[in-house]
Amino acid sequence: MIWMNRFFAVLLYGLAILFVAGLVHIVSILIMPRLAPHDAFARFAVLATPKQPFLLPQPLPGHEITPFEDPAVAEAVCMFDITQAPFHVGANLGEDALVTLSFRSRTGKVFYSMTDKASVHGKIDISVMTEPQLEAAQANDDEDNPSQELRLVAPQMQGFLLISALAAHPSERAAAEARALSIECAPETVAQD
Amino acid sequence: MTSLFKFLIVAFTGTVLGLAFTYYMLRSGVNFDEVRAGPWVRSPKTGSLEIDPYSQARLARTGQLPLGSAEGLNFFAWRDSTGEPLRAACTYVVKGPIPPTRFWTLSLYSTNGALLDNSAKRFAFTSSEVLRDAAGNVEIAVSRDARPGNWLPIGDVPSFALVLRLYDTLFDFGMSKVEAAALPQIAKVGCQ
Repeated sequence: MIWMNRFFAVLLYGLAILFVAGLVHIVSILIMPRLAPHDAFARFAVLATPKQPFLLPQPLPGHEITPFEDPAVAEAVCMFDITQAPFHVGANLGEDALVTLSFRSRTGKVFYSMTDKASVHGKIDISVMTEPQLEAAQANDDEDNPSQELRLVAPQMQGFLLISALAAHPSERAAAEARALSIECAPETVAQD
Repeated sequence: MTSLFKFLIVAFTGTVLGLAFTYYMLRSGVNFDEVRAGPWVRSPKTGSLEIDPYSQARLARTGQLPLGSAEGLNFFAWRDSTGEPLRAACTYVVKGPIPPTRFWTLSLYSTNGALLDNSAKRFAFTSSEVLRDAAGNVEIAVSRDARPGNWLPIGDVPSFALVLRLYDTLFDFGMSKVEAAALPQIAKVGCQ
């Protein structure tokens, strides 16, 4: 009987260890995006300029900010924090050159993405807001003349917009960089009331 | 006293095991969001809100930014069409159909995503600059030594990765398994 007791005691401790291990594993995976010290957001935060997009250095060996950057693309970033006010993105991309936008949360989730093909005659008018800010904006809307802007509710207060402009040939990089930087992004200053 | 000691042993061993397993899962490249098509690997959910916790944790660690699902599709290859790892000592040819898309790029990296320096300063091909044959087909040689035509040089590493990006693609793969025939092959020509 003693060996049976021993056996169950060991089994019990084994299961307890597995239970703790499983719990620690799940918690560490879920918490990683919030604690990772060198995620994309942290790398961009060092370079950030307020109220305008900033250009990422041209992807060249040894000068990359993030792994697997597309060397044919000029990238710019706008950081946002919508705690105080919504974040507005406006652009007028006349020509037929590829520009893509992706809105990403602090912890790296893409919550909206688009290309210039999805713009209205090259115009982009987007507001990133919280749920209460969205309700306030809807309450202020003029019913006869509804706002044309696209309103996105962000999953987190902080995040960033990644702008990618394709340089079809290396000689077009300067133009692609200018196109990426032509996008305006800033917190909305005037609450419309 | 002994029961407290046992409790601490269990808590400590469990924590170490759990963290070790997390480390292993993030390093090993185990991917729960993976669709394969020939040599190409795609993670259809990483560019959306439906990203799984393991992919999100891995991206937070590496800082990698996947394309948003409406921006385009990225296909990764660490192996050739026969399933062998891509080795820098070998010469490969990337050829075959590329799905209809507004723009594509093919770029070469170290296996963990760094660009590799080379004398030609060529790191990628875009659909605009690539040379095509009379029928419009694309063939890109991937090798250390210079090749005529489209040549994507491999830098000074033992193995490498290729990434095909389809920007603003008209081809909606959805969650489906992409037919390997819809994507280019990575054929090994020979090794040094």
